[in-house]
Amino acid sequence: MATIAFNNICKSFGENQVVRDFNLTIEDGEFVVLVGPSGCGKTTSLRMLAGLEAPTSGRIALNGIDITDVPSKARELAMVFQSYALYPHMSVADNIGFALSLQKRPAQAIRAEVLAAAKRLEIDHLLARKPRELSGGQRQRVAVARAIVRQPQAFLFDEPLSNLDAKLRHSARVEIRKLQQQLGTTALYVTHDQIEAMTMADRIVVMEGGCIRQVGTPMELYMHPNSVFVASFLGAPPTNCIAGEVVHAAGSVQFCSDSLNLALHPETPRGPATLGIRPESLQPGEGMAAHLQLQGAVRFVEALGAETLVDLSIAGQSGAPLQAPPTELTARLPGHHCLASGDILPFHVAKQDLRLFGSDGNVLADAIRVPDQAAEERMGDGGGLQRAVAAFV
Amino acid sequence: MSMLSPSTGATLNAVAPARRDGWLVSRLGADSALVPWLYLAPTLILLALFTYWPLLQTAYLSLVDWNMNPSQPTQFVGADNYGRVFGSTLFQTALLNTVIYIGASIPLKVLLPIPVAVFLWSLGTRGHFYRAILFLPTLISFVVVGVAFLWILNPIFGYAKQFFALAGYRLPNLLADPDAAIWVIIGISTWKVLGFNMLIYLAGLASINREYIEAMRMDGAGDLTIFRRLIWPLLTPTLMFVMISTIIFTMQQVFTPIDLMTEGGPSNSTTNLFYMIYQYSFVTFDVGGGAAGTMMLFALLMILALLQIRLFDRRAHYKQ
Repeated sequence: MATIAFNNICKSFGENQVVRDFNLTIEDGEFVVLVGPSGCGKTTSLRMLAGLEAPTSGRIALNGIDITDVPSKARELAMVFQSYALYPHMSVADNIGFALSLQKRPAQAIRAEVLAAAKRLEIDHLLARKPRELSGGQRQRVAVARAIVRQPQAFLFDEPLSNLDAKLRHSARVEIRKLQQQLGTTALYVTHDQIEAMTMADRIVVMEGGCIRQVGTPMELYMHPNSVFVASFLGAPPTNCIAGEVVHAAGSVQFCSDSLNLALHPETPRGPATLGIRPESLQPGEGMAAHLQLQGAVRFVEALGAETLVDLSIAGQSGAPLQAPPTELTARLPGHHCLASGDILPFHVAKQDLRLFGSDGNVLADAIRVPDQAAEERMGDGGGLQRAVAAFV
Repeated sequence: MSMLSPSTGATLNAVAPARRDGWLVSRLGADSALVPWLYLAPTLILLALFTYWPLLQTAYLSLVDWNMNPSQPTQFVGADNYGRVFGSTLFQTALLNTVIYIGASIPLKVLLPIPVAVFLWSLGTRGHFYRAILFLPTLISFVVVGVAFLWILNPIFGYAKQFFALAGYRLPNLLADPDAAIWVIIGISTWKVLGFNMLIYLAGLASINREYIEAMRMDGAGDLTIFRRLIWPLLTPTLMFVMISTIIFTMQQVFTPIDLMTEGGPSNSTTNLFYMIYQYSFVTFDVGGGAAGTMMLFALLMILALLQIRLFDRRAHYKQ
């Protein structure tokens, strides 16, 4: 059990700075996921905690004790590698018990602990095998067993599920999370898969270009992304981003793009901006009067069973003439919808589901004018949405 | 060959890929029992001509008395040549020297390159320069190396004499000293082969996933433990290859420096079994003696190879 603190960590390889000013505190028993695209510095940050890379500057503390210059073998951390790194010449039992044998524990105690770890991961029937005789999923379990048998201060996971197929990955991430909760051990998990991040983490750290872009619980990041990057990185399909400009004209402030205009808070700064709409925020039908109304031409339909993904060309707000070039959006509709390419449909988005980002990519808080609920109900037709959905289903 | 289309029920003719057999295979028919032998024939002919026929010829020559004069008939003497050669002082000295050459080659040529390779491997790309320097002697012909060392070690005008003089010592005539000459040849052949074996070990090390080492570090292992518990076992296939090839080639490779630098002397102190065979066959033209020596050397090498395989091969971890 441990708290981990990264303080102003920077890492450069030659002239290439891969991690900049990394500050993060992980609480005892917390499961934190570092997520970001390839090359964002997440694995390097993990390796610095493991002691496999030395930070160029900054300090790392474990339980309040500075471990920046402590060799990895003395850090009491266990790591599960992307390739699992199982020793190929040793049996599964020897792999799991290797760290204990280095601690000069009695052979009988090692055997008992190896067996207990193997049973916990349901690999006790594989103890005599060599790693090459195991499947990918079994290897991954052996790597986890090797990590837990040491009872380390914290677990470090470096994309441990990336070599598994989709079905196995789902069950493995549930098992890893369950195991970590049972043991109560602090865990730092690196992945580029936002689904892993969203489903496993207590807190997610989104990284880009060596920097932390946002830290928060999965739902905080999903509902309130602080930048275009976070909004588009989390969620599948990603947030629809509509490029436009904030214009101050005739006493009003508006977001204007090729396909839509939106009234903004009067203090919103002028300049280029991006409007973010989550695919599930695009609702079929005309909705209430206060909603953002759009008209979309169906381009492509992906029926996934429980939901339907619809690629749309938004050529203008409802009632407005179609303009070129159209903006392309994806809508996620629950259930199955019989839509054909070329259908033109009305869509609406509640204004509280809209996010406006400035030219620097950061969110412009309070830019969207959200009408109060009572006024909205007075102005709109409450049954419009249900009727519109019924018309499509 | 035909197949039925499930949708239409129509019979479609599957198009067989065109065979590109040679005219001989076409004439024999692809199913002829001769076809596999035809494919093997080039290798079998080469092996028969240059390995098995000379072996049989040597076995025959070891049983006759002949001085390589085509006009003189061979005289069958049975196993006399074996007894004569085996009982000679030259054979006993050559056998002992061969054991010394092989014995010295294991620590110097087989084991010494391992720490050198591991050190250069740990340096990463910075080790490339030293790698090139250490490999350079492999590229130089052994004749050139032999002549160069003859000059360097010359007790009158050699470079080594100058260095010894700077340190206040007199360079002994190493190649004339029966106790020292064999070690000079072992040293030169080690210098020449070390870089090559180091390169083979580096190739073996390159196949070791560096994440294994990192995982061992995380498990609490130090450098020595990592070497003993990870690198050494994973390097055993390479070690096996280097050991067998070095032992076999050591006996052949030292022939050139022996011939160039000492001609087996002084007092046969540098002769090995290969050079003894040469002396029997091409210096004294005792073809029977040379052939008998060759057959005994062949038997010795076979025993060595079998022993190596039985003793070490089982402990090699081939698959990673």
